[in-house]
Amino acid sequence: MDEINILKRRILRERMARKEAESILEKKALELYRANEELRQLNESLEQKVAQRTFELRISEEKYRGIIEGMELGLLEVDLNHNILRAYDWFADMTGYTPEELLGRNAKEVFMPDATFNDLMDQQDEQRERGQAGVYEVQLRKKDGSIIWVLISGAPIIDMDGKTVGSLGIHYDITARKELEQELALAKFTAEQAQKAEQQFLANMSHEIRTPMNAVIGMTHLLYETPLSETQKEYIDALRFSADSLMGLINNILDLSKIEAGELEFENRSFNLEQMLKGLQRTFQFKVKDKAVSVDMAMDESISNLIIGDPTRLNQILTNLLGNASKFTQEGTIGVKAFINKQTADKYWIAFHVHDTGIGIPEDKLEVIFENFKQADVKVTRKYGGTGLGLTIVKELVEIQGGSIKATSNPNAGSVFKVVLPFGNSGVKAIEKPRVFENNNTQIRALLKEQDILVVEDNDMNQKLITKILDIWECNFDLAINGKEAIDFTMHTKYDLVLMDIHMPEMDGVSATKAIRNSAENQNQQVPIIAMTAAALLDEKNRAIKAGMNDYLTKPFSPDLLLDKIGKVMGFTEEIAVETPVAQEIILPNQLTISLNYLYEFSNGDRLFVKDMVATFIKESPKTLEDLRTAFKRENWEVVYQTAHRLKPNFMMLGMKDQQNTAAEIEKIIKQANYDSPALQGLIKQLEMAAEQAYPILQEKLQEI
Amino acid sequence: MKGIVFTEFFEMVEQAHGYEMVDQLIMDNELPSGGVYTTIGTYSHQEMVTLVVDLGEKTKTPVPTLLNAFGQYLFGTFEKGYPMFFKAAANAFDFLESIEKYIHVEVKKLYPDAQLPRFSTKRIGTDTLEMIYYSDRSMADFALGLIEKTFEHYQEKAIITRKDIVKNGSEVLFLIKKV
Repeated sequence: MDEINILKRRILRERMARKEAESILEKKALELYRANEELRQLNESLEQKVAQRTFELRISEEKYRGIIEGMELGLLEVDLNHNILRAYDWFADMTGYTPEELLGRNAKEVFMPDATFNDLMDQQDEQRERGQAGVYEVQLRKKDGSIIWVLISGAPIIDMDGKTVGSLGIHYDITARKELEQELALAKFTAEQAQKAEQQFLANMSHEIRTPMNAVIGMTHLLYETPLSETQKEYIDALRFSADSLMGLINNILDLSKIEAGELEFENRSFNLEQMLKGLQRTFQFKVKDKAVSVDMAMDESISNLIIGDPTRLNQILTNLLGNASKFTQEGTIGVKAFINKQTADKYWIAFHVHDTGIGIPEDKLEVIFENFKQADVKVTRKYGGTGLGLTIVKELVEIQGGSIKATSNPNAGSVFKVVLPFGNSGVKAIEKPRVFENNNTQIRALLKEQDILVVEDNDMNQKLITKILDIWECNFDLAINGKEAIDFTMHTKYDLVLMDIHMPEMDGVSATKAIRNSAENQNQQVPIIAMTAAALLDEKNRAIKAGMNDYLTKPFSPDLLLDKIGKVMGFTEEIAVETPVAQEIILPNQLTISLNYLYEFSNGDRLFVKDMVATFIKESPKTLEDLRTAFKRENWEVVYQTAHRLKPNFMMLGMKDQQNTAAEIEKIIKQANYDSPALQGLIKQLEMAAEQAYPILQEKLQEI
Repeated sequence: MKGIVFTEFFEMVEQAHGYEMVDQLIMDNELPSGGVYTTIGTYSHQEMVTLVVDLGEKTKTPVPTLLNAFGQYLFGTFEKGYPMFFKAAANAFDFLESIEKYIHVEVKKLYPDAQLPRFSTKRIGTDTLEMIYYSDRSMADFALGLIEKTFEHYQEKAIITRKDIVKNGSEVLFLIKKV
């Protein structure tokens, strides 16, 4: 009975346990279902979010593409093999295709006109594969075969794994710009050619006219040396006057053309203003000697230093204005008043009032007279002559130098031309240096008699002229008719002086001079050479000096001028300096310092050595600076570096510390490959300007050593 | 306490003393569950204490001996039910170390409400393992039964020294030295 009860209880317990297990299982199953359901919902919401974000991203992408398309920029997507993945509308329009036509085709094959851009494209492909963007210009062939230029901004298309799978190009049509560029380049080329032709023409004309004029004027001078009757002398006076006028006119026209071509070059050297005014006074006193006119020169004493500027141009301006003054004044006074108008730390603004007591200018003509070929009155031309070019040139010369000019006048009482010009202040006292043989040509002529001279000249008339003068001076000379002959002569005979024409057949004067200077066997390697050139162009003169000539004369020249040059070159008219308390170190406002202390110390006070070094600097550095400028223009950085490197010790030796540093700075910039540095050009300009200012000071020092 | 411990306990009692003993234990004690257990259910730990203590009295056997025997018995159930845990370890030491790090982690995943003892292990040299048992249930003898069977399973031999760190048996050190 017990056993049955136990069994019953066991069965009951087992059943209850089963039920309990079932209910637990059911509960667990429900929990599982809920968990699954929750998971599903989470997934769903995640998917929705992803879809939403993707949609937003697409909208934003489309928006930017829309903007780019709206900006008339053509979009093109290609794979790594240039197969087109997508062509956007504007790109299709640009190339004349429909987007569907382009899909799947090879962009390179469809659009590249030829192999011109292959290298560029390969280079760009490499950049894209490295994941880099790039901008480049190529030509594309449109569907109709016509060619357009596009500017492409290409960017890599990168997939989710960071791998480059293609590229997206933004194309901008620059055909119009390219055409304009080409037209401009062509126009510029044409204009430059025309300008060159004009310059060449002027240079030739200058030469062609000056050569016969040289003969005319020279022969006139020779005629004076022959026995003449009063009438003949009168005729010759008239002849000389006309020849001089014609020469003046030619010079004026030449100057004006150069001004118009923007080719006029200005010197920048120090000079003595007082001396110049005195010289002008003497010249014009001579000119007006037959009239009751006195020439007054007045200079503000506060202009005590040498001033820096272009003395030749200033002389030209004042000569021109004084020429007018003397022309229109029958009695009374003409002259110049020079005074400081304004002064800054490193600049003088000097006013020159050129006054006369002549016929005056009506008020309504005061402006007109500065215009080309215009004079106050046509009657003036008839009565007084002139071309009406003089004042135009004066005005240009003044204004190009940053100055101003105006005229005031009272008819029948006189006129005043007021010129204001800027000059640099050299900081060096102007001291008049009297010449040992001042105006004593006979002394030079006496010395010259003992010299052997070689004349090199191809033109018959010029030959006659120069040989005649030398005959009169009783000189010994040989005549060579071209550069080749000149070299032959100099190989066999020792000369004391060579007068060398520049333009000659066979071999010109520049080449001949170079040959003589460069040949150690030539006994005349060091002979003084004076160039005789018909071309007044500064270029020509520079070429002569650069070739190694000592000085130059512009034909036609007067015997006095020739004698003067010879005297200077041969050292007969050596200027003796009045004792001058010049400081060892001269400091100019723009930080130019010069000191020869280093050289003196270096050589134990060897004056010859110091002199040689200074002279070498004056001679060599202009060429070196020009090399620097040329190399810079050609972007030949290696040479820029080397040249700056070469200049640096030169400046050091002369105590030009700032320039030494400037050269070092140039070196540094190049070394850092910082070629685009805006400073570079400025630094080179600084060196050039400092050197220009240093030359006259060094010349002066050279005399003192 | 998981239901499997109760059903296996009854299984063991039935095998040793017949179902009458199981029925006696249920009838003689006030059990909240009424003595109805299912393996996947969870029941008060106190019921197990009541059952073990009563069984000790009825069979005149000390409780530690009972617990040790029950541990050895339950090992067989685990061996059959969860062979993957044994295959995962190459020897007894590895297995004992895997209890805390691996097996109990898996158990918790399946039964988040399971309350398990904690073990820490430390090897001393190549043949000695220091294993500390932590549990408020103070059933270190039960654990010892399981450990002893483990060495049998891997056919290894070891000398196991037991030392109570805390008097009530809630923290017990087993120094196990392989022979």
